[in-house]
Amino acid sequence: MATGLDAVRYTASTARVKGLYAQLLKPDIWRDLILVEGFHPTVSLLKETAYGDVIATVEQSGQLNLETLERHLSGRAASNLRKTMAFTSGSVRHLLIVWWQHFELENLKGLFRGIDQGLAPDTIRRLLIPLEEYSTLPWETLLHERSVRSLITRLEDTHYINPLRNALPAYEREQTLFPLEIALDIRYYRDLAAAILDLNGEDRQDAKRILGIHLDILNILWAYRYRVYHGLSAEEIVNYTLWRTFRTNADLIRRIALGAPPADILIEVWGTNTFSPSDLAALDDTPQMMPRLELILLRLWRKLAQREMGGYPFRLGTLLGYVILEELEAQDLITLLEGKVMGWSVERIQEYLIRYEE
Amino acid sequence: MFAPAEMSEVDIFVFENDIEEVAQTVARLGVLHLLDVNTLGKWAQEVGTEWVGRVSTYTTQERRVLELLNQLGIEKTPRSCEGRLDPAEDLASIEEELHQVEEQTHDLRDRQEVLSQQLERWELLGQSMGTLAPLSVSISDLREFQHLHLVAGTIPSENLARLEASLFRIPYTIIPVHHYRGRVLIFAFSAQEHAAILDRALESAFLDPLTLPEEFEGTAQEVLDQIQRNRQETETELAKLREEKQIMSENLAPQLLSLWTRIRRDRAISDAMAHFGHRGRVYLIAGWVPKNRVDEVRLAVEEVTEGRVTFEENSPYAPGERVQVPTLLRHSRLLKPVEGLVSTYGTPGYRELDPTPLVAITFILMFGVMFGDFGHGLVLALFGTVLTLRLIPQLANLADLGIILIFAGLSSSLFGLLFGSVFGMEGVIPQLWINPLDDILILLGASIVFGVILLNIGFAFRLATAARQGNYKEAIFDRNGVAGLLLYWSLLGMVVSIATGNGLPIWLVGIALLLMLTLFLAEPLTRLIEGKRPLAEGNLPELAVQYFFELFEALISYLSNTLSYVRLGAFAVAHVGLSLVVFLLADMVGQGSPVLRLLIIIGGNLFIIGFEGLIVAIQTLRLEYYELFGKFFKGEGIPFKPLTLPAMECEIPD
Repeated sequence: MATGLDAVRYTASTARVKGLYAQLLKPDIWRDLILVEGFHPTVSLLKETAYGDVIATVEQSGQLNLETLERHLSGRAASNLRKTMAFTSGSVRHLLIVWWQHFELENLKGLFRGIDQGLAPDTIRRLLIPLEEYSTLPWETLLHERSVRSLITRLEDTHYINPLRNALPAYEREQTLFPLEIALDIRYYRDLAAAILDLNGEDRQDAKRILGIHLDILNILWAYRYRVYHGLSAEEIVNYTLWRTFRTNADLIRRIALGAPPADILIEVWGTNTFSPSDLAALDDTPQMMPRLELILLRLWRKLAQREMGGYPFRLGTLLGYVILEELEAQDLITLLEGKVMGWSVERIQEYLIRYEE
Repeated sequence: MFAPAEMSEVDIFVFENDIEEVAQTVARLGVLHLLDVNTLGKWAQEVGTEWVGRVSTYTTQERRVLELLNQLGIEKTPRSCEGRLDPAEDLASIEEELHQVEEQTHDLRDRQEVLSQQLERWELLGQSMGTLAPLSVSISDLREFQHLHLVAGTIPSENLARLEASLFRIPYTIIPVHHYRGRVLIFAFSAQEHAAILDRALESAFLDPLTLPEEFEGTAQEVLDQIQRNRQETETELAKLREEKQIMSENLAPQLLSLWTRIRRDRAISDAMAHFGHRGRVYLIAGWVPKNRVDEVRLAVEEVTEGRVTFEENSPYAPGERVQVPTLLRHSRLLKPVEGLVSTYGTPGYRELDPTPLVAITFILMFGVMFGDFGHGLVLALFGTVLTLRLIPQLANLADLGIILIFAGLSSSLFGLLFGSVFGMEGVIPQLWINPLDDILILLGASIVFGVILLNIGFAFRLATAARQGNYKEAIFDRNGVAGLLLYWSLLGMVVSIATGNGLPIWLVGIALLLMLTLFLAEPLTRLIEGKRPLAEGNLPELAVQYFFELFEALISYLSNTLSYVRLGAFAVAHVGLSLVVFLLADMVGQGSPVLRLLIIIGGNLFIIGFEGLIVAIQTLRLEYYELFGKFFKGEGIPFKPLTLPAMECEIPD
């Protein structure tokens, strides 16, 4: 139940978030962006919006291309997330910091890929999301490491070292980054779940509703990906997913691993009324089903985040709702720009956007 | 004494070919505070970003060098820096050198890592063989199981439960043998037909398998002996590697330290270059130099450019000048710590009076009054001496605080003599003036008199600051200016007259009312003498209300500021009272036990010195910041930060 204390705790941060929320693109701008033809006209149109600063920065760097723009769009989402946490404290701030670290995690994976492929520091740098001064990792020094092993040694004093150490023998045996990335992911999302459980009362409920569902979605997606794309055994699938999330557990993952159809699993987890019958019918057991499944689940996540922006505003839900909407919008913009570069039709772009319903 | 060093603004115009030499020369002198490039008008238009980029690259290189110094355990002591710099070209050569050093050290670090892991594996193998040793089984028998599949290895402890949950399709046994550093050594068994499933499950639980080298034969005990030998060999190799690292550290130390120094100096010059104005082939170096060092800069620059330079010196008092002049305070070593107390509030503006000497005297005096005790003062002074002489290495960075403690402690001792108090005991030493507990009213009265004197000094500083800034007109009707001072005196006169039984003189009341009216109309009167029209801007009734409350606030502040100093006497009384409580407690609790009594007295005195000493220091600062500084000090200046080359200890100019 909302209390006056919440209003005091969240007044400043909610005010800030409402300001940032107002900067998200309105449906009419989205319509224009989808309709305009070609990459550069889309970018020009985007420049007229709150994303103007991002476009200007990319233009100034002299590298106005899809890849650079994608990284800067993610960088903007990361930066706005930092702004969101400006007036928070204690375990709420800790949760937001942990959530922000998924950007750092993405960069770290990018760094491993670059070093594994023997890319030059300058090339790898261009692949990283600009995280300004907030990241505590010494990126510039890390870029100059020569091998995956030495990079891991260099990360000795960070909280990433244990999962990396655990997965290093598998990397050296199989010469693939897959175990390292999985180990990092599992550790990160365990930390996120712990940060959610560290909250009290309404805060915890809000976080469970918005970030907890993300853990559920990821666990289900990972299990299907391992089965459908990688053909992993049931044992491997259980070991490579999260032990338990708020709506999933080892038993559910085992059933996915043994061949349970996605539609059955979604109904079991979220009930019969959450997804449309046509969406569920499209989820067959082929690899082509995976993007569809991912989109359905992301749309559900977005819908729940959008719901958080209404009602009583002075609570953690408002903050989290905004950061998720911001990130999903950046993701949609990336999809849109990729579609423009590939020359997709308006209908096809719309089909792949998370904000499909609007 | 109360005024910051006089500054001149210098503009140095040099050709492109000379700019780096000039930059280095100026940086070496360490007397030029650069102007922000954005204030240079048309000269800022052609400033490129290449030097900013170089600053960033040098910063990155410095981080890498520091990383290497840490890794090799080399102490960070900058080398002396002779010779010219070439910040534009040095980047590439430094990068190459750095790369080579990194290659060597990374190789060493990786080899050390591999050997450490090997050692860990021998230890784990020793653990597993130790478990099997009592069974007297042959290792070759274990290798040749026909129906049983056995795997030994370590997994992260947190993965054990999940591993067991994943093995839901086959019968298996997992025996945890030994937990260490977040991992667990396990033996896992299954039927041979399920070997593939078990292996995949173990792999996905991040198993690090422990396999015995093929050449190991015999019973578990015999293998254990072989493992011990191998372990010793690895330890020897590791020791050799450590020696190698030591030699490498010694060899690389001069190179790395000199690299570090070079990078820092190059970065300083690059940073300066990014601040210089630029038009065509001419550069403009603009900044502030202490007036008495201008000629030195001029000569040095003319010498290095062989006369190809235009040097202009401007006064900071130039009309229309809006740029903020940096403040260079010149104080002796003794006053430096007090400067820190002042700068915590704010840096004095260039045209403000520097209150540091005043604070030095008043802080020590006020602290002494509030903490008057001969013994406690000496302990504080002793502790201050220990800090100043850096006798405790862990507290070396508190040396400046030590100086303040010495003087504050001596002041406390002096007032302790006046109050006849030593370690809270009264009557042990003769009382030279009064006893705070017996003569409370005298002490409180004296405190207020002290406050009145200090506030008058504050008013005087306000007027002197106005004179220095040329704001005479603003200071006339200001609440802390002439009108305010006269009103304060007239109110004081009334209080004194009543207190001495002389009643309330009507003429004094008349003067006070007139001065109140003057303060009420301060803004229009100031505009009148400044020749500004209209005399008041805005709605008249609203203005009247505003003026009334400003006057009311001024009157309240005169009263509260003065009465605030009562705390000097109050804390002196509290100090004696607190000491009495300690002795009372010692008598009550330590009855019949002289040792316990002594312990309570010592503990109580230490508590008073630490806790009350801290509170008194905070109260003293409060009196300085709120009652005194509020009268005249804004502290909105910017500190003088000259362009220097790191590792060249450039002294602050006299």
